[in-house]
Amino acid sequence: MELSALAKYPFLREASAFIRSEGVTLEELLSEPAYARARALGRTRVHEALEKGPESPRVAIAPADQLSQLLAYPVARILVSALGDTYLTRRFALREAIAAEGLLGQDSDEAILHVAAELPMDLRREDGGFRIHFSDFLRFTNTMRDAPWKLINQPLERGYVTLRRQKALRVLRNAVQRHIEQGLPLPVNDDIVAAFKSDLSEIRGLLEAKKATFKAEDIGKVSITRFPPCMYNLLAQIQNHENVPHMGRFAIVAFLHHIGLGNEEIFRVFGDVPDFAADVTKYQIDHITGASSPTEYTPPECSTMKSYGICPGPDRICLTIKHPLSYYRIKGRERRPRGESASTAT
Amino acid sequence: MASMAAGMAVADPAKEATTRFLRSQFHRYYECTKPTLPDRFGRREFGFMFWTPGIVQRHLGFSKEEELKDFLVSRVPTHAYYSSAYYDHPNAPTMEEKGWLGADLVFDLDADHLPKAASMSYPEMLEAIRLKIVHLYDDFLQSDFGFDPKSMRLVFSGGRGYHIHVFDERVWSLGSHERREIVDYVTGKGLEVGSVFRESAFDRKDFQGHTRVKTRLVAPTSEDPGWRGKIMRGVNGLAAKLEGLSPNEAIKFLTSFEGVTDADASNLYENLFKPRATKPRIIRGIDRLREGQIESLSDRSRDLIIRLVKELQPVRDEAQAGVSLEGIVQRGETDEPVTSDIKRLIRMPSSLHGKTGLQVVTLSRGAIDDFRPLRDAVPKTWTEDRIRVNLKNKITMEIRGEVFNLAPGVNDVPQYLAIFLAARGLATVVPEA
Repeated sequence: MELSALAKYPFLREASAFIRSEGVTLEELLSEPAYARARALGRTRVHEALEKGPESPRVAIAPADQLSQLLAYPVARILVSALGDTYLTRRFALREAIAAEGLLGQDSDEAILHVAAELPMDLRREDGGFRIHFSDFLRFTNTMRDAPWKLINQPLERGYVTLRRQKALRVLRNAVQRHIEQGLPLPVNDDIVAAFKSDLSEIRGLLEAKKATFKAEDIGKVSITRFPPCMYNLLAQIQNHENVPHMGRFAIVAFLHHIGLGNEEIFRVFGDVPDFAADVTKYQIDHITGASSPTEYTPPECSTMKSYGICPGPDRICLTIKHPLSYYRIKGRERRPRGESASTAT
Repeated sequence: MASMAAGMAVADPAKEATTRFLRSQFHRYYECTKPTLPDRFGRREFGFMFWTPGIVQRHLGFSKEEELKDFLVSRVPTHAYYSSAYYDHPNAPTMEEKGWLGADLVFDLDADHLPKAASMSYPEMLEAIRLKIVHLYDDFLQSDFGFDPKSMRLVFSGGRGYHIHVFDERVWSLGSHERREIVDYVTGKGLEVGSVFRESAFDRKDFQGHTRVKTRLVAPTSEDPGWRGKIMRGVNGLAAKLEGLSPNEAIKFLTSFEGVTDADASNLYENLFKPRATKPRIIRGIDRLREGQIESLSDRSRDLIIRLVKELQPVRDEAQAGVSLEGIVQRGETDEPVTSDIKRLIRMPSSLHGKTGLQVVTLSRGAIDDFRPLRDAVPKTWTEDRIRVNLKNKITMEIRGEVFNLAPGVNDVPQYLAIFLAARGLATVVPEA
């Protein structure tokens, strides 16, 4: 791929190979004035991961700008790694993946196939659209639990699911997100921390402020003081209009259902999630709770929550359990000392 | 000790002689049989059951064929299993220490899941399951999932069912959720009619600032991939079934579904079969339906026929199961927990099933068409030697091509039959005086 394309898809192996071949060293990237623009762009990307609103344009015309765009990516990864925060890492990967989805949407089919091959994903062209091997379809849509994404509702033939372009891009986004997340954190040394000292403290400030807004309010008859940190955070994010990933919404719905909330009450919690139409949410809730489906889903166990990056890190009780529901049960038995906050997540 | 003694049955010479007999025959079998090793044999956990009910030995790993054979010959298990999963340390006691690396995809169809299993004979049950497993193999795993026959293994369980092991490496790393999606696909769970019939706009009128768009459902063709084709074949199959019945029978059949009124049924019937004078030729609803025009039916009839086809997916009772709607009635009813369980133990091919004395047999797709368990899964090791057995009830059955009609009480029967009856608990071996 050309530099112009690598600048758009900097998470590709080719992109890092390109940087190596250009002879840009880490030290230079951290300190050379020539790379000040790349550093600024990298910082912006991390900021954007924590904010709502449109991202800055990523298509550069001049080769120098393209190189800066490309180098901004390792800078951003270094910053994210130095902060070592699961929430930030996930937000960053999501943001980058959404950006890639948007760019690929305007790009050629060849570019899409090229990116897919690197992830790797068995995606091929098929008259007017694409087809993907069902195993990759399942792997990369396993966080999407609504009916239109169920395998049974896909045209499956000889091992391949036919997808329209837009749907293929949506699957690709998930794969990119996972690819980016799995590559983080990078090992970070003291030099790096020193070089980005002020940037890091600024981002840490933003992150803290963000997390401080995660204060869940009591709902119905359940006691949020008994929630495990993961569910507490998810609930808070929803109440704060954060865009919670699919797996997170699935987990909290199943959790609320199992601790005794009715579907109507759960729906009210979700009532104002920004990007989901009311009927979709209602549909999902009914599906997860078994009202409209044969399965009454249980929330994922701790190990699954961890692998999806939804676990904010264990607290004292978490260390003794394997499932978020156990936390609620245990916490119901012991009385919390006065003054201890429900937010035990760090 | 006192409680243990109380829990143990009073010594029963017939029972002891039976166990001794079976154990020595199983021993002989394992001595002269080379075990069939699964691929990545050393990465699998093995589990066994023995002659005392309830004793299970799990978490065993073998690195050499001789080790496994020695184990089988010296311990003589009643049942032998290995894991569908591969592990770093198959013999570690906990899942965490084992280190899960991946797992085959296993489908298990057992006669227990047949609605009428209780009223069927053993060969009838096995035959019904054999048809289902072939359907699962051909119409789902091969045609939809595209698995190469080289990466699938058909196995007769030695008991009441058949298994399919899929060891295509692309499925190894799939987690439980992904495997459940595969089971849902095969069992028709979660199918959305909207994904089968697409709404398509065919007329658009602008009137005083409002836009009115007329839509119609576009039907897939029978050749469409996945469930679309299956549903369409179902709709056509149901229509063809109705066409073959007299109007009265057809209405009766339709109203046998829950909540279908006489009026709904006659309406649908009329929609399908009443000739309509349309230019340039007289045509019936069913003819247009066959051309893929689902909108030839009234909305009410259309919804009804779709609902019926959807309802025909699960096998509900024999009256409806008798209709062969390709891909729908014969849906693969697979044992769900097994397929989505990524740590499950499965029966080891070439081992013996302790409840029948039959062999767990690996079959090719070609071989299964003509496979008859009571003829083909009786181990060659079993001889014709006469064994004196005591029958609880009269026995009429065919095994190894011989028909037996035996009266209750003491009978001398060939060893191969004695083993089958003793293992199934239908006979005891008469202890030598």
